[in-house]
Amino acid sequence: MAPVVAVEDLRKRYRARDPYVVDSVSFSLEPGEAFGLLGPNGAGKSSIVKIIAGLTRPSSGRVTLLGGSPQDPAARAALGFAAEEPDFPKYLCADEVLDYFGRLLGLPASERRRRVSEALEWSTLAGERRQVRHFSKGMKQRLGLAQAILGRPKLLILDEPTADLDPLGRRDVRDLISGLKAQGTTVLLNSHLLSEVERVCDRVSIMARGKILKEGPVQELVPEGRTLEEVFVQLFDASAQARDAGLPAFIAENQPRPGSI
Amino acid sequence: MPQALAVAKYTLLELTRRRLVFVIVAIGVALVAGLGIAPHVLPGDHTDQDRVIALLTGLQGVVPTAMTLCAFAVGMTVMNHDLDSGAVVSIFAKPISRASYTGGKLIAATGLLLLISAIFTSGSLIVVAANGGSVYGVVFWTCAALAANIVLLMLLVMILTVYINNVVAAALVLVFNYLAAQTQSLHAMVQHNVITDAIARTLVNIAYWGVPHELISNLQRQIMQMQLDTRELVVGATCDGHGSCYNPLDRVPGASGAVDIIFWAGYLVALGLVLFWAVRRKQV
Repeated sequence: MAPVVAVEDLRKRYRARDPYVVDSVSFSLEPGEAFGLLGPNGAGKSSIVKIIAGLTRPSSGRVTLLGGSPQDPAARAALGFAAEEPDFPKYLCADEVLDYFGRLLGLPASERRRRVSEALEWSTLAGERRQVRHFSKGMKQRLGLAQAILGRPKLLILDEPTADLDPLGRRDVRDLISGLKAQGTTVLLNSHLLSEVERVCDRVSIMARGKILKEGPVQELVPEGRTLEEVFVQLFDASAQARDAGLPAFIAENQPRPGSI
Repeated sequence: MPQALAVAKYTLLELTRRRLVFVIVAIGVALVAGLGIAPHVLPGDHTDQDRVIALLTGLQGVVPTAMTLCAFAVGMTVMNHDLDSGAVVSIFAKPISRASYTGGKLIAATGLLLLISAIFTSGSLIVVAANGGSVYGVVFWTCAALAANIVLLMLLVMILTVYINNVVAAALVLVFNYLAAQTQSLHAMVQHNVITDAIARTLVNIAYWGVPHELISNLQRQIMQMQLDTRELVVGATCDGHGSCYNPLDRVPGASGAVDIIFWAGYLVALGLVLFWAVRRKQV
């Protein structure tokens, strides 16, 4: 079966004088699997998902999304993308945003109404009449997830989906990923929350400074009795340049006591 | 096309919910109404002709200012808010081409500006009718020319907001618009042989074909003609010592001709293409 996403020797830099933020990255996603992209800040994870979603062009290399180019709107028809820190047209309400996006997905009116209603219920935004500009970060994140699943995607990309969610919201996202996997949807999860990734992903790729350090099934990467977080930290420390992990010097300096001159 | 219309629909909905444009329109309409009422309530023995002259002079100040401010308000927000907030990330990840997105934005922004122009045109015609009428044609074409001019200004602001902060974009377009107007004035001086230096004439001519030509109606000439009529003055040909004669009214700019309208259309198409290209190249 053809992979849902194939990334071959992908490189990306934003300006000619800058270093590559993604450097010779290759991987593929099979139908129905949940794939975790892990790495510290600046590892290049968000750049990769933006290239897969057609938002940014690669400097070199090849990306195939559902058999086509990510730049081709038709290839994005079966893509659901929940961005990191999502935002939406500020003066629209949640149901209007979903109706808007349903139209962009080409959903017929009756189906659009049904899905919008159900997505609002799922995201606990049903009955919310305020405009998006009055939403909290968590509400925007929920709306971001609702719009990502609106088109019943074959590939769902979640970029830090639980960053602004409360524990109940995180549980909902876990349940969502499990449910979609069961339906055959491929999930690409980009997250700092390694415990979440460990719970839901079949395979992970650990990145640092634009390169993949290690990739494989979670069971193979995480030995018995250890956690993904421990493996991640060990891998990252081994690849990172030596640095003094101590506190900044000014913290340890003697400070005058309150009231003294 | 359905996707472009979806973008247009929700962009229009957003624009109608932003208060700034409506505050400008409301103030403009109130001022136009005030200009229409003023001659009836202010003391003095005014003829119909006096009232129309005063009214046209007033409209000449209020309507262009209000419509230009609306164009800036729309141009600054219509695309920039999506880009600035990151909303465009979720939109561009959907199966919509960037051309459809830009097309939808243009339909919404241009549609709103035309609606605003129609409001000011109707308002101006009503107050002219209430003050003796007779110059409906020139008022209509003045508003039509203004509508055409502000669409270009809005497009310029929209293009710049793809790259830079919308306030900076508006300031740059304001400066550009001023320079374009000055270039047009200089060009008129070249045409009337006020500027005679060959190098200066060449430079002005080159600059003239680089900036958009503001479309104008016969309003200015009409006002002057009415002022002369009021004073029962007859302007005849004036001849200089070298035997060349001209009518002073000819020195007052007349309505834009076909060349200016074609140039405006060409500029519109060129700016539209630049906007499509800018959005297509935008990495979000």
